[in-house]
Amino acid sequence: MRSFLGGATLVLLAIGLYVGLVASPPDAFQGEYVRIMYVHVPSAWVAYLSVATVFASSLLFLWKRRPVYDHVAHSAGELAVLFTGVALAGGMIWGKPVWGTWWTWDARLVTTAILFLIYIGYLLVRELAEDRERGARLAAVVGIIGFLDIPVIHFSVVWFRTLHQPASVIRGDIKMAPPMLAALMINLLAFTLLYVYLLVLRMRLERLQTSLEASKLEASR
Amino acid sequence: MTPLAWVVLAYGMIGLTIFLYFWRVRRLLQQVEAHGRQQDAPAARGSLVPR
Repeated sequence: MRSFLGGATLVLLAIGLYVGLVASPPDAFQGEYVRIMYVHVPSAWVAYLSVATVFASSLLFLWKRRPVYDHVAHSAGELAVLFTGVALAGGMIWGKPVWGTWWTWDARLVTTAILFLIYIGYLLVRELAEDRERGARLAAVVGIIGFLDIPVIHFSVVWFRTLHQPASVIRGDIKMAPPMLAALMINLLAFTLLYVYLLVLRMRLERLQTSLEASKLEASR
Repeated sequence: MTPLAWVVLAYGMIGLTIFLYFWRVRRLLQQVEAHGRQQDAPAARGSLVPR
């Protein structure tokens, strides 16, 4: 099942790469730079997805206290840092030639950077705790609080006057040409599949490491 | 830098970062699985039987 998922992810990423770099046309205003959007937007989407997973599994962990929910939250937390970081860096590479600057203190950018820092904190709280159980509980609280930043990020382009463009695809209103929309949707799907695959892989590692630690502890007694 | 160079930079940076993460997780997973197999081996469990 894992290798099938890996294979399907690879195929879809290859299609996404072809559509994003070759098949889709350059934009009338942005030119070739629009192609960066086909990896920047999916990275940000997967970052949202990871944070939502941390939120849901942290709630379940605090409620049920089952280790499996903590494994899901820890794995998704790591992916949240990875994809938020990648989304920020991809946006900066797009921003330099299009906006003329790597970084600006824009509401969308700042709230996303805050999310990145919150989830680095999430991983640190876990690592620096005195024992595993306490670390998991503290991290779950940070993970739940961190999720509150998602609506702020999402609506920052509506609530504040920002340089960052508002959403191009919202319910009933699509401001994209069909070939560009197709390129974006294929890459969104490919990145979602990539997220599921990485989450499955990381969760397996988490589970095996935990059981290995437990058996080592038992052997030392 | 040409527009294409910026696009390649963005795709390369994102692709490489995700690949390196995947590679690290896969490598650790292989190590942990190998360790688990060693522990499960009969010799490790002290169940050697004389001929």
